[in-house]
Amino acid sequence: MPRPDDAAARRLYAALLRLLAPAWLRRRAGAEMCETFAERLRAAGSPRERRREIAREIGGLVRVAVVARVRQPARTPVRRAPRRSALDAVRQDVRFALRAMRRNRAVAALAALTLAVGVGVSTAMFSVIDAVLLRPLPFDRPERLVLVNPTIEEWKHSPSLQSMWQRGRFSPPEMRGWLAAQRSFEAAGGFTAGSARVPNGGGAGSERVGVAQATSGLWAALRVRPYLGRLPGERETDSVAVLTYAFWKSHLGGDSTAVGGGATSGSTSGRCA
Amino acid sequence: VPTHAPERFLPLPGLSYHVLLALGEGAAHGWAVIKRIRELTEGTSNPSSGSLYLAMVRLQDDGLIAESPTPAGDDARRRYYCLTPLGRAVARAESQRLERLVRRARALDLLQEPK
Repeated sequence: MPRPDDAAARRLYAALLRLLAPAWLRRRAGAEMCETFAERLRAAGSPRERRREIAREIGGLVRVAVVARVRQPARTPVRRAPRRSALDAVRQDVRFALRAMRRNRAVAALAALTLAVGVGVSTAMFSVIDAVLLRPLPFDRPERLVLVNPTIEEWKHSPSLQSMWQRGRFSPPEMRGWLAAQRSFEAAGGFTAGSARVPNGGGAGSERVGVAQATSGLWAALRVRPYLGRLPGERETDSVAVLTYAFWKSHLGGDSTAVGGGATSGSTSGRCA
Repeated sequence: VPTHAPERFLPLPGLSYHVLLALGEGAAHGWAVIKRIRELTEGTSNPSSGSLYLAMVRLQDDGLIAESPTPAGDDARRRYYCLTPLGRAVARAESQRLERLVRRARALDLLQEPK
């Protein structure tokens, strides 16, 4: 005659079996294991023996569940996932990624931000490196162009000027002397860069643009030809303006009659840079 | 009839050997097998239901034991198991292996109680 608390022990054993044992073992021997457990309880004499048997059975069940999971019988058929096409796999991955991002928006936002900053910084760095180091100067045979600066020995040991000692500037007489004496270069010219205020392209107000004074030798050194008009010759000194293509378009409306006109004695437009 | 050589299964795990010995007395269900094992090991082995059935599932897969019809009059839910010819051959081979070991132990005077 089963005791009333046998039912509770049997339910516990069945629940542990469902929870721990692999499906193949439950399918093949689950009902018999429960039945044998019940018979063992019925056969137990004293309550103490009964408790010992329950402990033995549950301990054995846990150990068997582990062993049975590690060593499955070879003849248990393994269900394989159906074959998928590569496109299906990608689609499934994308769906999974979207689901994961929806579930964890903060992480997704942080990842997106990190990517955006990374891409932005890389692009900016590449733009600078490309312009400064990789892309050649927009002149014919740029590898033969050299910028010459005088050195100033006295500045070499001055704390405030030592960074500039190799980047001195010629005075106009020095420049003229050097240009007349030099034999090292095919062509040489001098320039001083600055800025000037000019009327706006639209007519109202004025704006600051970059300008430079140059000797006529500069054009030969840079090997540029004018898009329109002519370049100043050696005899002319400071009376001829050369415009960049961009300035001619923006401030003179690309007007070809502007060549030769203007406030100065002769205007020509420069080659497009 | 399976054609495996019995030696392939040696040495047999202790519990598997006990199951074969228990079923050597005739077909039995799980609880009866446990009781027979307790008897023939004089109580030193008392396997849990889980251990017993894991061993029996493997013995069945290897073709050493098989299900046999439930005797008339017994609970139909109980499943009975019996030795196959291969199981009997394996039990014999394992017993002979153990006997050789026991003979060796006797030759070394390890079987007698010290005087």
